[in-house]
Amino acid sequence: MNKLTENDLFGILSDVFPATTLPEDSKGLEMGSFKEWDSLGNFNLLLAIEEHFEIRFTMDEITKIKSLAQIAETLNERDA
Amino acid sequence: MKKLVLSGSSFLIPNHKAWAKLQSLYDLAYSEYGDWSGALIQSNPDSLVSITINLSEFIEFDSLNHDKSKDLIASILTPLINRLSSSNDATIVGICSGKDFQVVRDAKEINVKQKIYSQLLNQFEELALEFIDFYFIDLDHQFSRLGIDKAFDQRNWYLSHCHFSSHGLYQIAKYTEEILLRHTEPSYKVLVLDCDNTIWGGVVGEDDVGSLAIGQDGIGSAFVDFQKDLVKLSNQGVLLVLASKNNEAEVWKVFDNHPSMVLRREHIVAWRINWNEKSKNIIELSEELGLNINSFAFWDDNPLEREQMKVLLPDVLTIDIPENIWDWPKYLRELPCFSKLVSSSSDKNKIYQYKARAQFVQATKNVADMRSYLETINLSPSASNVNELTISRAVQLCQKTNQFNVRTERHTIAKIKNFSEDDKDFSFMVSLKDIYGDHGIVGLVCLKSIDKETIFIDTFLLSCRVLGRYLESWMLSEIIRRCQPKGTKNIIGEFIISGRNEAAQNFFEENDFKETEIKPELLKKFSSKGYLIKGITYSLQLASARIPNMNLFKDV
Repeated sequence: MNKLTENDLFGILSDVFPATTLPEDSKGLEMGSFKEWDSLGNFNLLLAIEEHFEIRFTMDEITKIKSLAQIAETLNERDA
Repeated sequence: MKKLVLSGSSFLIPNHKAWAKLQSLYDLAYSEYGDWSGALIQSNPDSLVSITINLSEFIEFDSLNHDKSKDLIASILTPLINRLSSSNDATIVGICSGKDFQVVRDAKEINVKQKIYSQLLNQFEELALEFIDFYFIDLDHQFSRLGIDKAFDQRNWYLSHCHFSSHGLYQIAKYTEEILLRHTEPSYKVLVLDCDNTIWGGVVGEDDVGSLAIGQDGIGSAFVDFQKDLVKLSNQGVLLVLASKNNEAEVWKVFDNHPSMVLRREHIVAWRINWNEKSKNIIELSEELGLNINSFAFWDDNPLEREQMKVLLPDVLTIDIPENIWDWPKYLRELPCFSKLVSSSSDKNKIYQYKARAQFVQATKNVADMRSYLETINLSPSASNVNELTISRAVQLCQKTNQFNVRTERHTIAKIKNFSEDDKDFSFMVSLKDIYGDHGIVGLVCLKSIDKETIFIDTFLLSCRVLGRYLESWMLSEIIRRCQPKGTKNIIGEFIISGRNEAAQNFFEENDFKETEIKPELLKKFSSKGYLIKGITYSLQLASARIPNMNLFKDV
C-alpha cells in the first residue's frame, strides 16, 4: 500500500471538526491550529482515526500524537 | 430545536461522532463531567434529559454493607424523582452495572453491583409506570446482544474518565435516539400483509389448501410462529390488513379451512385481495380506515413489490424483511416501529372500533344524503372530565392525532393536568356510540381562560376513525354548555397548519366562528398565558352562536 499522507486524512478531519473551514492543504495542521482542535478535539480525532482504519492506539500514542503528520507517520509504521 | 441535556457518571466525550445524529435532531447540551444529578435537578422542565449511570463508578470495591447500598440507591433516585415530579418532557436513564466477570466467585454469590443493579431496575420500572415521560435503559441487557466487553474500554477510562468504548457510545446514542423518536412520533398503526409465502408457505390456487406450509414440522412451524406474533401485535392494537394478489375466495378458504391457521378472519380489519397495484389498494385501505398512509407498514416477501412500494408510496414504511422465513418471527418482535411507549386500556377495543369504521364507510358509499343517513345511526356522544384513569388516553390522543387536530399540541400528562387544575370543566374527553358500536374515547378538548369573558381552545382533536359524523359540532356545543354558566361571552379558536390536519381546516368556519384578528390588548393577555398566536384565529360570540348539525345527536 502507498504511504499515507496528511492530505489523505482530510476527510476524517472535516468529519470530526464540522464547524471549522479547513485550509486546502492540510500539511502542518496540529492541535491548536484552530479552535475546535483542542485536547478533547484531539481525542475525538484519534478515536475517529481508530474507527476508520480499524486500529487501536496505545495510551502512549494517544498522549503523544498531536498533529496530522504524527498520525500519518504512526499509521504508516503500523502498515509496514 | 428541542433542547436535550446529556450527562453521565462517566465522561461521555462531547462531540464524539456517536452523538452526531442526536446533535442533528436536538439542541444538544453536554453537562459538566460527572454532574448527572445537576443535570436532573437543574435542567429546564421543558427540555429532554438523558443520563448514563455506571455503577462501577459508585462502588469501588466489590463490597458494600446494607446501609451503604441503601444510601447509594437513594442518592440516585432522589435527584431523579425530583426531576420527574417537575418536568414536562422526557427523561431517560441508561444504567449499567460495570460488574466484573469471575466465574468461580460468581458461582458462590451474586456480585454486589449486580444486586444493586437489579434493585434499581425494579425501582425504575415503578417510576416508569408512574411517570409517563420516564424511560430507562437496561444497558447490561442491551449491550449483551453484541457483547458487553465491546461496550467498555479501560484505556479510555484512564485517558479521559470515560468507561465506554466508541462502540459503547454509539450504542447508547442509538438507544436514546430510538426512545426519543417513539416519544415524539406516533408509532405505525397498520401492518399490511401479503398472503402467499408471507403468512403461509406456498401459493393458493396453485397448491392445494392441504399442501400449504403451515403448522407442519420445519418451515411450516416458522409460518405458524410468525402468525402467532402477528396475533400478538393485533392484541396490542396494531391493525392487520391484507393486500394480496389472489382470488379472494381462495384466501378465505385457507383462513376458514386450514386447521393450523392461527391468524383468523377476525384479526383482519380490512383487505384488498385483487390484482390491482398494491399501492392503489393501500390508498383505498387508508380511506376506508380513516388513517393516513404514513401510519402504514408493509410486509411482503416479494422484493419487487417492496421496491415498487418504496417508489410509489414512500410514506408507507416498507419493511426490509430478512431473506429467511425462520428469522421473521424474531425480526417482527424486535421491530421498533410498532412499539409504543404510551399504552392505554382502550387499545384493546381498537380493532373492533376500526372494523366498525370500515363498515360505516362501506355503508355511506351507498347513501346519497349523508345527513339523513347519520340521523338513523343513533349517534350518542358523551363527555367526561379528564381524570387519573383517562389521562393516559388523553396524552395518547395528543401524541397520535394528526388529522382532526386544530393546533397539534403534543401535551404531556403534566400539561393536561394544568388545564383541569385551572378549572375541572376545562379539559374533557368525548366518547361516542352508534349502531356500529362503542367507539370509546375519541375526542379531547382543553380550554384556557384568557380573561373573564374569553375562552381559548388550546386543544380540540378528534380521532380519525369517527370523522364524517359531525361530532366536532357536538363537542363545540359541549364547550358552550360548560363555559356559558361561567360568564364566557367569546370563544377564540386558532388553526395552525401542520401539513397533516386538513381535515380540521374548515371546522371553525363551518361551525359559526368568524375569522377575526385578535386585538393587541387581548393579545397581551394571551402571551401572559404563554400563547404566541401564529395561526389563523377565529371567534364565536356565544350570545348569537348557532351550532349546526345538532339534530344528529342523541344526548346520553
